[in-house]
Amino acid sequence: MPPFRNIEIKINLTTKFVVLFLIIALIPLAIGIFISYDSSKRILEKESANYLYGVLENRISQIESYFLSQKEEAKKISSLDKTIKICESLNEFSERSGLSPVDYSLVDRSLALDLEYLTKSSDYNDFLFFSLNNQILFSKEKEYSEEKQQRFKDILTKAEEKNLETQITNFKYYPEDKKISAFIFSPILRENQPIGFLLLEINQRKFYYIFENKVGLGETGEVFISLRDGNKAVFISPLKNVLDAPLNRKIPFGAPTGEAIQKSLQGEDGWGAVKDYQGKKVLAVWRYLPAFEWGIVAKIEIEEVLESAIDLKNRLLLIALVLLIMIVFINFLLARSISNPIRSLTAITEKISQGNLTARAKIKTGDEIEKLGNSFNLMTEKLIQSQNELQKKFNELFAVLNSISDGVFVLDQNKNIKIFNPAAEDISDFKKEEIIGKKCNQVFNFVSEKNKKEKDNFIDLAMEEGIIKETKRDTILIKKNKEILPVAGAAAPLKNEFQKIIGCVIVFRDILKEREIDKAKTEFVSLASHQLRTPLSTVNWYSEMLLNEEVGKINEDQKKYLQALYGASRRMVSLVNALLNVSRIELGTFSINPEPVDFIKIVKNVLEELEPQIKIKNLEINEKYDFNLPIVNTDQKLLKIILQNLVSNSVKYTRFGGKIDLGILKQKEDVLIKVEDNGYGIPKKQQSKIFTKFFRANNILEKDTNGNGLGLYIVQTVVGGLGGKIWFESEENKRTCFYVSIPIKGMKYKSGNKILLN
Amino acid sequence: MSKKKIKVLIVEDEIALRQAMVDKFTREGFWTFAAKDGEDGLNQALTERPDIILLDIIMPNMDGLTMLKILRNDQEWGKDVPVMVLTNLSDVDNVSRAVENGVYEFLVKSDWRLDDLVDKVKEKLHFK
Repeated sequence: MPPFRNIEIKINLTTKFVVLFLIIALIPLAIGIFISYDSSKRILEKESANYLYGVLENRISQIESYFLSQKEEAKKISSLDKTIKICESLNEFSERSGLSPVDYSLVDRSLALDLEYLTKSSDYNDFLFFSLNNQILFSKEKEYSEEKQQRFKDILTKAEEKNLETQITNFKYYPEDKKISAFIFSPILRENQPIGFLLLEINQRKFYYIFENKVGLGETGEVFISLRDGNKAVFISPLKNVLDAPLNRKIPFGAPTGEAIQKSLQGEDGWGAVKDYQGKKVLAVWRYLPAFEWGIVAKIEIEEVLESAIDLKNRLLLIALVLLIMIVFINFLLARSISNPIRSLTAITEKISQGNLTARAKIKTGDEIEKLGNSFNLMTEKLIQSQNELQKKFNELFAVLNSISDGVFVLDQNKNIKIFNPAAEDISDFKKEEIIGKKCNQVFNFVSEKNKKEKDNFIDLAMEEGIIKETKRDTILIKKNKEILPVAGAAAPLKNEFQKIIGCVIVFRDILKEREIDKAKTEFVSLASHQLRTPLSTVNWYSEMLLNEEVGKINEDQKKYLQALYGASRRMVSLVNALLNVSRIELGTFSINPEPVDFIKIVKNVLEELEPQIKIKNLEINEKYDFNLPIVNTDQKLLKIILQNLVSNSVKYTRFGGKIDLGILKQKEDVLIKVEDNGYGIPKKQQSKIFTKFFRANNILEKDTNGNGLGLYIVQTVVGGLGGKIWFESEENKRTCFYVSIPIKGMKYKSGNKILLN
Repeated sequence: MSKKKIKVLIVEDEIALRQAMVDKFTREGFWTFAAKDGEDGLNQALTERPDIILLDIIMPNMDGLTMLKILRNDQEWGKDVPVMVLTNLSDVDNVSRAVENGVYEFLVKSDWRLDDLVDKVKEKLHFK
């Protein structure tokens, strides 16, 4: 057996209830918290995204209107009279002298003032006049690099191709300048004829204001734009946390951060929770602006977006915690209210099981447990009641056992002595205290009187066969002091409801006196019969010798007289024999010796013995035997006594030339013997008495003086001894038929110290 | 028939019965000896060594069964001599004790005719 097989985790009832309720309460609580947090998070995210879209749209329109206003302003400047006039003067100077603009101002003071006014009144990084053939007429700066000059040329060429309208370039990153720049091109017209071009470099500060405006973006929100530079995204608007972001801050495509920027520059529009350029989790909205080739992103840190959701979560968790504590507490109280009465009930049951039947459950919960407690109390009452009744009955039984004069003892299944009454003590000399619990056969020696080594195992047999067994006729008990005592008794097996033998009750008594009386009777009968037989034998034998004419001839009269003498003596002998049998029957001392018996053989034997009488009366004998007769285990001698009596009765009580039918028939469980004659019959009135001792029917008293009235009495007793039945049918002067049935299953050996005589 | 007479010892205390048997067996041609009790019977048996003994049970001085027991202890002759018990007792005890001591027949006197007894003796000794 594995050593840990029987280990169980024992949890008391309260804990079980608490854990159970907790689990039941915890699951919906957790699900509720999760659902409300998750849905509020989703709603918040979506709403924030929508809001960010709004901000984004707003910024885009701001950018567009910024560009539009820039354009309008430039157009306005270019169409100013003063501007036209300046341009004409600059053209004149250029044609005339080919001087640089600086020189113009020196030459023409009023032109210089006008130019100063123009540049100062507008906020542009650079302010350039170009001639129609793209020569710089005027600029704020003195000199330009080759690249810059080429750039101007490109802008002008492109713009001129577009019908000489006011145009604006995108902000572009110029590595040589290390800055972004955008230019406005506007033609200067006089009477709708171009006389020169104006090129204004926009001051990006103004542009940045759009992005520096953080209104409606909370604490962490911002909008920024970026553009593509090779395989990198370059910020072109300032960032909140990175002051020198424009142009300096770059994000390579494919980097894990700045996802929104990368996506916007790849031409996507969208929103989502992503990582920003700093690696923070943000909610971002992005768009690509194809007109500018910019990506624009509005983002806000997710923590801020979800601030209220997280707040909600925290609150929910707090509520859950409070709830949990409350649930545990309530659970505990609830569980206690259930388990406490059960526990007290358990305590009571333990007390009661330990034998304290006065303990009562006191539960006042008003529910099923109180009911349980009450019915438990009721049960206990009943228990006491039935225990008392049982005790009473037991006492009664014990009183009977104690006062009974027969010895009684009871064995359990293993033949250990359990009960031993005072009479048993008196008879055996053993004291109750010294033998209770001992094995029966270690204490009691029931043996045969003749052979002290031969045990009478009636107790073992009773317990083996499950039927009551009696002691044998000569059983004696060897007492404690080794004295012997003739006893008679019986062992009755105790069976439970399943017919299983669970013990044995043995009743026995001292039969010393009975034995002595029996012995005296037997001796008397035996002696009396001996004394009677001896003179009868003398008469018999001398009569016999005289009748045989062994000692001389006798005349007819002498012969007649001698025959009468001899006959009477013979009858006397059979009467003595019959009386002897009767006394043996009545003492119960005749033995039965079962052996396989052939019925037909016995009938034939009987007929042979009665042959002389049959012949004298010239009787017709009809025999009818079933051919498949079984061999039955029964007592041959006793069976012969039965047949002898019945057949000889028929012979005796049938007229000369009468008829006797003998039958032995096989029946289901018996062998049926049938002896029928057509003789005198039995008078109806006397039929009930014919098995009575010494009874003889009226109608045969005068016809036959040989009978002694004992035959049928003996037959009836013997049939009973063989376990059979006897009955008859008779009609006076017509017929008599005797039936004897002998069981096929045979019979048991019965010891006795006498045999019955034929 | 053998020329030598067959010796029959009759042990019986009842004079009338003893006489009847002696007369009968003598007439039948047996060499008959009679003893009045067990002691007498034992003496005669050991000296005469009869071919058969007819033995009563209840007798004064020594009963038949005691005599039989002593006789059977005689290893030289007594142990094998045929003994027929003739008694008027019919107890199982007596029968079984007799049979234990090698009695070949146990007869109740009153139930048997003398002729039958003679026949039984002759039968036993293959006399017929």
